[in-house]
Amino acid sequence: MSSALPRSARSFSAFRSAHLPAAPLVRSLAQRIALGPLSLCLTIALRRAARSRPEAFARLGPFRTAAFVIAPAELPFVFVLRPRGADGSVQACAEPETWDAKVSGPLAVLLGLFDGGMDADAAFFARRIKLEGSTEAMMALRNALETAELDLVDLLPAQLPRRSLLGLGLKRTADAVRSFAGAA
Amino acid sequence: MARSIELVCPAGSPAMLRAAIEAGADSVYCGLADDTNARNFPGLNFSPAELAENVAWAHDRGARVLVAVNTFARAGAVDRWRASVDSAVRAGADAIIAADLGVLAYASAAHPGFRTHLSVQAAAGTPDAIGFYARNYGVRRVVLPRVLSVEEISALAQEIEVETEAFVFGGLCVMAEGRCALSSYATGKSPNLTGVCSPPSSVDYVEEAGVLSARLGGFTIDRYGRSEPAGYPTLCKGRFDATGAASYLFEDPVSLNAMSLLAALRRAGVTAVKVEGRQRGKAYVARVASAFRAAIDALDRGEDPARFESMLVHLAEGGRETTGAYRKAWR
Repeated sequence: MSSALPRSARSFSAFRSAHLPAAPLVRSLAQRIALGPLSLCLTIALRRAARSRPEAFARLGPFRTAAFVIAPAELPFVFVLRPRGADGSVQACAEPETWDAKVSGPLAVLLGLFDGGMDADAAFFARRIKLEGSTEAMMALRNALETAELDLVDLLPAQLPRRSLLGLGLKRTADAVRSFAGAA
Repeated sequence: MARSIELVCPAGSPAMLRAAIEAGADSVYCGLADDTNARNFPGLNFSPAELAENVAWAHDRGARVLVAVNTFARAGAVDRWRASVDSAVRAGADAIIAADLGVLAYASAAHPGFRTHLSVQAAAGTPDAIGFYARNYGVRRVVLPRVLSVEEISALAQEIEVETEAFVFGGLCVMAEGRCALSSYATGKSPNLTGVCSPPSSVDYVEEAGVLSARLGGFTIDRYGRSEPAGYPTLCKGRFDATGAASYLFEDPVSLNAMSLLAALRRAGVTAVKVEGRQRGKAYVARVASAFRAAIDALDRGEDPARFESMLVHLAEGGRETTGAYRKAWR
């Protein structure tokens, strides 16, 4: 502990070390609290999409029950997508120990893959995304998303004021980031 | 303005079909969601209902829909191929694309007058072969194998009565398409019966310390360095050690881009140019269709389409392009 710290900071650090250890349990609980609302919003969005575009989700076939990990490089957590139609879920959390397929890469690129604005194969050729696990499952997910024709606005809560405008803002931000980074 | 050459683009999904037509495709080709077509990927293709709906949408916009029923029918299960032909006709499609003699025979007998195109999977590249299909099954157009030079196409076009369609962008295959023994050896599956040469269930990509290994059926077929562009996991584009050096023994993992040869192909008598890539997606087809639409329109105005060539390099497999066999520079 640095003696250059003021006395009050040293005291707090000592208190924290003694009474609030950085244990995995505490960290996990903190994450759930912080990411809970995000997980809930995305789960609602997923189920709304499944209700409005059942034919798209049917394309998943046997991979409806698969666990897909979407791992944005910039974020300290991942998204675990379990389609399962009307009772699917999206959980923002630490990476689980087991999953079926995983895609990782810059958030702007992953958003581009989600709304079909980016060609997944080109992103893969250019090594902008990394695929792990079941190639078959990931391909089924890609094709299902393409058919669903979801947009970034579909990720937002239905009752959100100025939803369309926010969705457009999200898309333009993602496009700008991709252009800046030189991603096609 | 009458267009001199038809642009035929891939449609692996309804979204991709609409993107292709909105970007300027004159025609799109698609398949039904089963093994009767050679892009039987999970989640890809059309149900009969989706096909009918999207054929109507395309026709409202002056575009044509060609339905690929181009794998070879399995003995004892031919009803599935016949059903696909029937679905295409019921949906109001403009043509089927087929390779199997039985499928062609069924189409001409059950639906006389319905337009049929000969798939590249028939590997018909001579006047005798093409003439046989035309005389016996009423084939009206042949999709040419991707192994002919422009000069060979020109000579061929003068000796046949049917239209020709030539690939100009996308993945290349220099094998007997749909009958590749290499794929069967590696995966234990027939590229014809599974409808793909590298079934996704047999594909693995493993990255360790920045080096990406592509595996097909457990065989490592290539390794890409940290900043090296990757390619498709097809055995013919694998990199192998032979006589002490690693090289691409069959073909490089590159994409065909024959935009620079549009004028030559037109002079050679080619009716339509075709973009490969039903498995790619709407972002891909929108970009490629736009570029080739602009190029063909420029050509029709008497302008040089060269300025549109560089629009597509980032979509190329391995980040590199080739004019393939159209210019056989190695001879």
